[in-house]
Amino acid sequence: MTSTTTAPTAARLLTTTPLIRILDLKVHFPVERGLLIKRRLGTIKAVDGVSLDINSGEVLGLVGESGCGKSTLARGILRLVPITEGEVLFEGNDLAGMRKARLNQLRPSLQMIFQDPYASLNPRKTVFDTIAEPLKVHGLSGRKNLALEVGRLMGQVGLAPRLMRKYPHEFSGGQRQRIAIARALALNPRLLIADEPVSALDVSVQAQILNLLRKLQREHNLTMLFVSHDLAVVRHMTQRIAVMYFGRIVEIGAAETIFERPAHPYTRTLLEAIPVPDPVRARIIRDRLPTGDPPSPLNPPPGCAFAPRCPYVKPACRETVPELTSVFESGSAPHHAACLLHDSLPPFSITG
Amino acid sequence: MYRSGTAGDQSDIQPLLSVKDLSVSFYTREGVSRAVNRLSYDVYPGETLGIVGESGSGKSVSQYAMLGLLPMPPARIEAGTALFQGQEILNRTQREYRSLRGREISMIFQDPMTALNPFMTVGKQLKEPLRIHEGLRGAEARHRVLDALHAVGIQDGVRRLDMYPHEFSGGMRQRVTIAMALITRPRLLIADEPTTALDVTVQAQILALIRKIQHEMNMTVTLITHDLGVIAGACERVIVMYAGQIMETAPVDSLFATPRHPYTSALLASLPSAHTRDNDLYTIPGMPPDPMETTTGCPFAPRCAHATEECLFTECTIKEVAPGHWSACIRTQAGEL
Repeated sequence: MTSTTTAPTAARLLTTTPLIRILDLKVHFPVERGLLIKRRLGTIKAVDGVSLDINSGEVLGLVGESGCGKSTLARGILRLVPITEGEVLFEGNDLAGMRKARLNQLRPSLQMIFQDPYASLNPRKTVFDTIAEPLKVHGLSGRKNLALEVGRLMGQVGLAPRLMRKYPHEFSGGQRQRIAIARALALNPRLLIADEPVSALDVSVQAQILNLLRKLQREHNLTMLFVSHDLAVVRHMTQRIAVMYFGRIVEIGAAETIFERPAHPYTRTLLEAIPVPDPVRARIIRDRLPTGDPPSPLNPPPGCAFAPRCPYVKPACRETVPELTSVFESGSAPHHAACLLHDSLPPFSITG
Repeated sequence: MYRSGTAGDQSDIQPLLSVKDLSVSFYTREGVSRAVNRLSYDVYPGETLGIVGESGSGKSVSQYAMLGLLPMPPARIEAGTALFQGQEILNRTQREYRSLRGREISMIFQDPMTALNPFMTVGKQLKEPLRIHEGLRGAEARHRVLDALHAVGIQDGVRRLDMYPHEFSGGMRQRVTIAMALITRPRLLIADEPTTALDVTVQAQILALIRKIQHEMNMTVTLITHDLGVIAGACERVIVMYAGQIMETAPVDSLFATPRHPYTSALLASLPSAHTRDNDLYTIPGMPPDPMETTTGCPFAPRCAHATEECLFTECTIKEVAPGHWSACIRTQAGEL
């Protein structure tokens, strides 16, 4: 392996154009009670004003804890959930406002893989049927060449083509995730969204799938949105990372900078909470405890959503919702954070 | 055996739990699945022992077997002894198990929602072990319940008593199950992936909570997890399991600094970290052995980068290769690795 492939260079990031441009995206879910006469109890703002570029050929990481809206954002980009407001520009076309028929024409370019490969595969379909289905639907392969093409795709993800008549239950978790990846790649997508693709897998299998995703990303120059709660995995896989909290992006920047100079207190809290496989370091950071729980989505606090848990909180934080602003230019990518205090935070150190 | 060198000289300390040659199988229509294979280990009073392994390694099954929590059949304890405070606890009657579980040994599980009864208020559920094991009721029980909730960091206990599990967040629910497990002041807490379903920030809080209560009550903890990071921060000693057997056991610092079994080294090498960005991750070739098939030799040998022909045929027994550090690898034992 050479190092030419992953290290993002300034030149590369500056010359790329965004494949996806998200503008002020909102996905709100009404919360209702009652069967016939519905009473509106409130609104959950799962995604509340996210703007984001995913550059062509890059792997962008999206991290956050459960309920922060990262999966809803991923689904919103593909319009798998109804969009309340905002735009998702894919090569200049707005997916959010597009008619269904036109959207379906673009679907081959936009693919997704999920956490649980068992739930995302139809147990009654053979591997051949599963991988061939998108090819048939979009009429991309003649009947004769179908088996050949499915075999080629299986080979690409490290599965022996002779297994194509088998059913999902005959495969291990890692192999099932390979099947899901082969299906996602069948139509030569431009964008691949991976939502917690290795969270259900054992450590040794996780390594295999991560290597496979990186290999395919390079070979196809795929643009990827890699959604995960596991920061070590995201650091390994991505060039840029966006951190989400309570429906908003609170920090975004080059992956290494996020880890070395986190500018948002929430990012710092997350980094300190990750268990590290190093007993000496683990004992140093284990008592720096995050306080409190995330706020209730039905009853959001005024001001910064992290303020109630923030160790650096000032009175102003409880009144103003901070916007993402540029905190510094670092190396390869601009670094933005949504914190009123980003200038006055003490330096971050994880080693003590 | 397998004594830690970290906690001073323990040579005259009796283990709280001593497991010897425990083997557990499942008898199914497809055949016999050997889940746990001649497992031997000791747990010493006051320590936190980690058991780490991937799915199917037998780490949970071994603990369930000891507490009479496996349905028999299909499960069967083939052999072995487990002495808890000197008393045999394997193959007891369900009646005997009921007086052991929740009083002397408590267990918490991965998913706090399934461990709690959704139709019962939290207060009622917490009072149950007190009524069953200590015959405690009324104001006295209520007092103990409030104490327990306070101990796990639930401040407004009085209000919480009449609430149902669904009214709690995931982290709060796990606090409730911990309160319930500890309300009878057990000697040993077995925590089976207690934070796997939780977010990292909540995980850090729950692990710290277990640590705090352990010190206050001088309790012993067995922590089962797949997460080597959790082991590093929470345990003093660790057992690495693979295919139903112990591959390696050592004090945590020694295990992470100088792993002495190729399986442990391979697991550590396959973790993504700050230094792996420019390279592919190390991967272990092949798959774990089918528990339905009887194997000879070291179960890891077919996937091991250092295996010789001898490894495939020589029955491996765990031996001390450095102070407090035990390995089942015959090549390590011979000083070749």
